[in-house]
Amino acid sequence: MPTIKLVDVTKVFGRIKSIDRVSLQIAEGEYVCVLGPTGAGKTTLLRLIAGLETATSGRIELDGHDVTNIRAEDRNASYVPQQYALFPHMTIRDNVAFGPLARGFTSQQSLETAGEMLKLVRLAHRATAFPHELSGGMQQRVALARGLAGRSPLLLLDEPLGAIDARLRVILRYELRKLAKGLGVTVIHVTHDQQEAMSIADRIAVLRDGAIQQFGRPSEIYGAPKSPFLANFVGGANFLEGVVVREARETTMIDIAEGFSITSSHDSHDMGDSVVASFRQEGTLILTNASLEENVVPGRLVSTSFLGSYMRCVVNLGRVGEVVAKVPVHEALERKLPDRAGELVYVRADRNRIMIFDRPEKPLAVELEAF
Amino acid sequence: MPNVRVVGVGKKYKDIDALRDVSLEIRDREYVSIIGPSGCGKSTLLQCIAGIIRQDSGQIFIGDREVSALPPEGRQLGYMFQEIALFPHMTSWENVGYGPRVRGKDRELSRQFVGQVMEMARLKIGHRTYPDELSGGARQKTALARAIAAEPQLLLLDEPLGALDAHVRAVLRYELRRLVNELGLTAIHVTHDQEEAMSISDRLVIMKAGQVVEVGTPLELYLSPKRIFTANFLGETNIIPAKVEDCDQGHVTVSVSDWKMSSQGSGFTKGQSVVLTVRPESAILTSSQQDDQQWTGTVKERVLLGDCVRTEVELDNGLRVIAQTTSQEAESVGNVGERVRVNFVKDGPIAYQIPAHGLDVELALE
Amino acid sequence: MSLSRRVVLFLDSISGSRNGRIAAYAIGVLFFLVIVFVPPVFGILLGGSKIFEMLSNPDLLNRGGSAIAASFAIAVTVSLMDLAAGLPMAWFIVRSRSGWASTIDTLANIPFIVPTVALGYSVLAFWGSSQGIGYLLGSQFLFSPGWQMIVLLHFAFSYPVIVRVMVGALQGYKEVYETAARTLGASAFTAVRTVSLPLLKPALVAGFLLAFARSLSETGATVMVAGVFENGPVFIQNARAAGQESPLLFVSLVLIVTSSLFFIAIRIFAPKMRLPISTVWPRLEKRLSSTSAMTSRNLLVFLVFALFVIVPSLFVVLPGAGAVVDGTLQEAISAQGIWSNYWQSMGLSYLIALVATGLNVVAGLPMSVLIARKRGGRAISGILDTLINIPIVVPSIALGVSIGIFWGGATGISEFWLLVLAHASITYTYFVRSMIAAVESIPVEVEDVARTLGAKPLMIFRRLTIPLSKYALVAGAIMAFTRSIDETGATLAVAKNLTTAPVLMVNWVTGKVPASSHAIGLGLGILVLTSFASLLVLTIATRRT
Repeated sequence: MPTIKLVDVTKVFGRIKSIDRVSLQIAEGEYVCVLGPTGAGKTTLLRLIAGLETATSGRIELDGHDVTNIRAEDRNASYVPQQYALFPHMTIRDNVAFGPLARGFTSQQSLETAGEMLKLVRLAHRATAFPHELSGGMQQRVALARGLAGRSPLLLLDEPLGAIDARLRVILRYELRKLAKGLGVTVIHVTHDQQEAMSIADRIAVLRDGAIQQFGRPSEIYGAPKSPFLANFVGGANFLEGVVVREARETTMIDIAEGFSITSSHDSHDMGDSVVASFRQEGTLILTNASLEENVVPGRLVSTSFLGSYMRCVVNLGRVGEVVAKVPVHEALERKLPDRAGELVYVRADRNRIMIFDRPEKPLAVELEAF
Repeated sequence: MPNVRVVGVGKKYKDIDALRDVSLEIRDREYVSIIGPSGCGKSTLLQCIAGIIRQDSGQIFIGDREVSALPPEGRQLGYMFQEIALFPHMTSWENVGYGPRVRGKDRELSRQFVGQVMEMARLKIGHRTYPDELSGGARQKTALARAIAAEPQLLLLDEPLGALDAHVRAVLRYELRRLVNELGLTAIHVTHDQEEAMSISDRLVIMKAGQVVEVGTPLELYLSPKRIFTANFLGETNIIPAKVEDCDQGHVTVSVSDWKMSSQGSGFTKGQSVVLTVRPESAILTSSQQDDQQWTGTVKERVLLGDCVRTEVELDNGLRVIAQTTSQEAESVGNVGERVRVNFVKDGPIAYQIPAHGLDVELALE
Repeated sequence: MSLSRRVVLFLDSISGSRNGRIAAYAIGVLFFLVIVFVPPVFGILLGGSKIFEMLSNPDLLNRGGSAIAASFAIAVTVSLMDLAAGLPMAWFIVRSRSGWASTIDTLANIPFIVPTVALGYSVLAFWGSSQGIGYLLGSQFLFSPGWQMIVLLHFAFSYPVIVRVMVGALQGYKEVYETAARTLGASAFTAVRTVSLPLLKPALVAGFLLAFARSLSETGATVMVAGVFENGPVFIQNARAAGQESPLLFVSLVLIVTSSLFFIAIRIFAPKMRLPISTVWPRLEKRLSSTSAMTSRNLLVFLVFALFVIVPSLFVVLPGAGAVVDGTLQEAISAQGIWSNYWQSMGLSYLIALVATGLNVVAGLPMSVLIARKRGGRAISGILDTLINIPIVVPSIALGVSIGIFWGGATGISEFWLLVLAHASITYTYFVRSMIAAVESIPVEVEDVARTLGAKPLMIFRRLTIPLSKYALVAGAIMAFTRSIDETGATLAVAKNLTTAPVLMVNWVTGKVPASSHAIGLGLGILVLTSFASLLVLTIATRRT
């Protein structure tokens, strides 16, 4: 039985439809990330599940019970907002003890539970400190402990790592997942950072303009995105618009510009279709010499940037367009890849890793929310 | 466009040293990022250079001029604030035109100039639009256009992309660098995001607890950092305690338990205890063969990150190593439970002395 | 489980029910409407046709008309002057890095500490007698009671209002906007004029309105220094003393209507007004930003402050000191002669203040939460937010007249309770405004989290809202209490037999009850000291925030 079930949930504020017929089913103990750009409705969705907003239409079920019209304090879904909202006038132990106290446990029992929780997040030694005396990362852990102390089976996290430094974020996100899995709680974790979602979610729900674009395991969303927007938002990709000119088993040839066409091993479209061919940046290969293989096109290097574990190369392919390639840093150094603007290079796309999408109604740049 | 020199700058707040004897040099037209964890003093340093706060000791030179006595309006800079700080009571166009206006420039010429700046920044905004009606990315670009329209000689950026979504940040940072290049400005960019800094800077300045830790190009600092803190701050890294067996011409042979490996490093003596850093992408996994005895273990966890796979291996000697491989390569090796062998890329591992104040303090990120 | 815990849990669960919450808010709103709002604003209408009898008397009509016009003219002028003088002072207090800043901050509160009746006498003595300004600068600078002295008086007692409002606003103002302007090349003066002031406009308007309301409303001290001149409240007081009902009612009605409309009009139109910021004079403004310009500006501001605010306010100390020396003090302590009435009046004043404040705190809490959290919906909360300001905008004597008529018909209400109701009505806003600001400053997420952890509304109120706003609660209560002690106008209108302390002082000063100048000084001095004590508690309580 799913722990959380949303059926056609819609939320309207005035004239703005913030959540548009969202349906979801989440199993007990799952760690689900809701991913999307700012304004997609992720916080609203979380607040609807928490009971802090009332759905305009649709049904929300928690553990099989219809809770659509039940108030937040009776839903047992613990909410941790982006700024943590720790009670500033209480010590962190009293903060954490608040949940059990609210549910009717005695003061002593609540403080004991609080002590256990603080030990779990490794802050037992600061139990009598006040929130403002702690660093950002520590405050975040207190917020988590407080959310978990009431023993609610569902934890709703709104951008839990948003206020944390980039480097620390990478470390803390794994800790977050470990903590939740260790306690067996179901988690819905809202974020705009696709790397974060990819690394710790069991399943990811991508939200845009209040509607779910795709809901599945990270490998599914990355390997088989359903739209150009998804391909771009989760992982980034190169996009070339064209028309299908040849179609056979395991082969689709797309005409991009005069003299250049690209061949993919996927065969999802028919002759004459207007499509967008897309391939990931790490699937875009840089060659120093011309080659007669398929999917090779010459171009001029526009810029290279160093991103740590890989180099990012922007190549101008003339009429065909501009593409970005990611090359692992050791490979780039070994092969002594060119790094000066204007140098001639060749770009190759692996036919097995070219995805094909319908051409969207809106112009591609708008659809991808590119800047 | 001038160079900037910071000499021995110190600043104290109550009893805490926000800045301690900081010295830096930034060359003409350089794009330098100052990075470090929260509280390291990077914003304070930037504000001293801008004249927003006055340092307690030391000097600041912009060009050849010592500017400590000069208020911000006299230093001819452009400053981008973390909070963006677009004036809410003025339209976006009025915001961008504020610089020329307060310096008494001719109205008509200013309007044309502002138009050019907006176009350079690729901003398409109506004349009656107020900042709160813009998207996050457009607000950022407007703040940048405003700073540029004041015709600065030096551009100072304090977490300019901090308020933006991850995917917008990753695109706008290149726009930022492009604009700075086109205008030939000298730029100092403060951020906590090391990837952002590495991707667009000519040089990086690493700070911790009010002091400069290390300075260098992104490539230098990432591949051959002189301090363990730098290695850990710029990206994930494996930390492996080891003992020196042999040291010769920049290469060190060490032993971890009974296993041997070689790394970069010099100036060590045999038997000395050291610490090695190895980046996950420098740890290559191969299927374990029957007669493999060293550096073998079992895969405990495997996470698909999209363009790469992060694998956690528990070696037979108890050590945990994180390896990062491209998705293509990871298809053939590295499933959970598999027995693998860890190989290290030549010049990947680096050996360091154990820090005097302790490894934990050195690695601390907050 | 103990009994108290059982009661608490029971109340908590009631608060969870929709009806329980509605009941709590309803009580708050009802109290406001029935006690605080309707009687003062609409009670006057019960006066019936008598109100309009004055229209048939052209002389009275003229006199009344001039009085009302004078009230508005003085209020607007004084408020603008106070803005001009108080804003730079507030700037100094918040932005200056000198050690004097907090001392000046405390000094600027003095006209608050001094009850207006004491202030009135102090101003009268300083500007009107040869021991005051005459002693300092010569007798050509003496003023006689009249409109000039009213202006000097009102300037002094509205000054701290502006300073308090602007200091609060400046402390909450994000300096980054001004800094941004300066990094773009604007001199300090230009940055403040074109960026900070427009952004502080709401506070400037709020300060203006508060100063305006005080000037329009004040009665006791104004009567002392008015001489033969009449503004609205003085006219009403004179009419009352002469037993003329119709002018009393008519002018009260006009004052109530015009002040409410004026207030609402400013609230609606002020946000739309744009300050002139499009032209810049770079070279001039750069010179105005220089250190020498700033120093001379500060000196001027301090001079105005010292000469027109501080010294006149404290001048009452002189006769008070005299009283200690010549034996008046002995009389006072032993409650001889006029002093027995004095202590009775003091006791009465304190009792009324305590009861009125107590009522306001209990009934004002649900109202504060209702408005701060917009529980009834945005429209209702917005309307209530505007309405609660009306009782302090309306001149207190007119308000008193109206209340008297409203409850007067109901037999069985003693004069004491009439006074309590009048004081509750006047001081309600001070408490509620303070609480609203405090509740609004608690992030909503704090309550959201508490709810999802299972806390019912009453538990949230007890364990979060109150502790997080307790300083504002105490501050608001003390402000209401002090305002009640100080209140003269409504008391003059309502009371026929009872006399509160400030009213007694007015009688002493105007000669209605004979008293030596030393006695007056001492009587006022004691009043000042007791006021000072309560405000000291306020300063301590709010400084810990």
